[in-house]
Amino acid sequence: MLIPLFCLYVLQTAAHSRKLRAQLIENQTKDDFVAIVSHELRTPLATISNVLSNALAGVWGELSDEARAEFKTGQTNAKRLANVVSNLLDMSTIRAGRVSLEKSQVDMPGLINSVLESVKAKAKKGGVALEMSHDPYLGLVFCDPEIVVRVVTNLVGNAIKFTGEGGTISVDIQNGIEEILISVTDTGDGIAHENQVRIFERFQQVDRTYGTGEKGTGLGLAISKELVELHGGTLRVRSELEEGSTFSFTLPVYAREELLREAVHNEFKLCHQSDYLSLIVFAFKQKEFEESQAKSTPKEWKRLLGEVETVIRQVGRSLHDTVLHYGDGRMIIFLRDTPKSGAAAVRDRMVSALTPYEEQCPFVMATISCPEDSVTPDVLVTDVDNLVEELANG
Amino acid sequence: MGKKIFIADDESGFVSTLTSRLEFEGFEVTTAPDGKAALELIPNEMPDLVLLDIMMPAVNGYQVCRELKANPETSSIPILMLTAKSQDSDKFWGTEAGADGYVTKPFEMEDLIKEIRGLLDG
Repeated sequence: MLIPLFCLYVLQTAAHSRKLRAQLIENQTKDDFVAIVSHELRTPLATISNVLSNALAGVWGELSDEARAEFKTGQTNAKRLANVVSNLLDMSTIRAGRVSLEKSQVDMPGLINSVLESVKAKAKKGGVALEMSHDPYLGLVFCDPEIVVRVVTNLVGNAIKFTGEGGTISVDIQNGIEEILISVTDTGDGIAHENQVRIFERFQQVDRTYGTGEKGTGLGLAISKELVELHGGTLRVRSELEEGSTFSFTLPVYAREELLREAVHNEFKLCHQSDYLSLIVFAFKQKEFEESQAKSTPKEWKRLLGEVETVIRQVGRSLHDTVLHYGDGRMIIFLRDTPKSGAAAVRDRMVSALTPYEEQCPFVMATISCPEDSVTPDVLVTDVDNLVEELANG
Repeated sequence: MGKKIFIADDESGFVSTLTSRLEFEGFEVTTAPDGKAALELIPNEMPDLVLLDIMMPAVNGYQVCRELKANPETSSIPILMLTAKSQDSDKFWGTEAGADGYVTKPFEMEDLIKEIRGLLDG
């Protein structure tokens, strides 16, 4: 049943490839559930926050000390609610698999320094010192800098909250063989062993006595954990009561992903010189697809598919190609104006670019191309039919 | 005379709280309840800065932004987008449409005022 659907899509894309391209861009701006919920929660909250802030700023006259204190309480709670709303939305976006990693070469000490800069005032207020150290031989790390910033901000923010005055928070970056390790160590109260699993669960807060005692949402660590795992890393805690805590996470160094990205990019660039319509079909060989899926945990599998798809999408987008997702991560189609000979070259080179993935992820690819004016739906349907069958059977 | 700020947003409660504060801070404020009205009023009003909500009926914030930036008379007016959405794609489309800045609702009023002053001085 997949194949007829697929053919239908091809028919449409062949006939309206340009129109479709415009439609796809339009679709991206259409509002989905998360965006609507987010809008409906945030707009009234914004109005409430404005009223409180205006009152405190003296827009309607000076406030008595008592009124000021009450408005402040209101403002603190509005802020807390705003945090819960944005964390919940983040959580649902992550859970829905809708976060795509935008990876680039990152200078980790520089990035983490900027995080520490941004929380300096908060640390000073809490009477906590911030330190950073790192392996002298640290190369650039291939990761999504925004996500690293969020995770580190969360971990350091927690550490500030729960470390008493005079305490120290140190961030350290170490090189591993296939990953780097970033740890945030505080001299706070420590977390009892029985609570060390719970703190990563949603809406779990464990009382610690020191620190500014600012109320959190109970979602920060759960989100950080998901974000690190999305990146293929792990987030752990090591802590003893009265001896402080260390939260550390790993980020794998994705050499193979870089390789794929570069190859995809180069090959597609090569094909940008003609008026011919071409479809490039990515598919998994049926047998290997099932085998690999069985070998991985659902989470690993999802991540692997996501990783491949993200690379292809990013490359496509950077070259202004249209990337369509077909089925449960099993087919990704590029629409590209490509000469026949060029498409064949792309096919060969893409297969070699995908080889590093093959062990875990039997990804294969093929192209169909024909001069645009001679495209008839019948020809395309037959071509795609054959191709899908060929790919699926290896 | 205070600098003129134009607010286009369909949430009347939000607009009124924002207006009181901006007037309190010494700005002159004009408002429009939707994108269509904003596009009619802005070329006449010629404000020093526009605060533009994204999700508005009929003509949305991106479209208003794009039109203002395409019109030589209004293209130099700084535009600050206000959004209640949280997606990065907002930022992308906002920048694509030519917005000068971005603020997510709910925001700290102090931050918004700082942002406005920064754009007016720049």
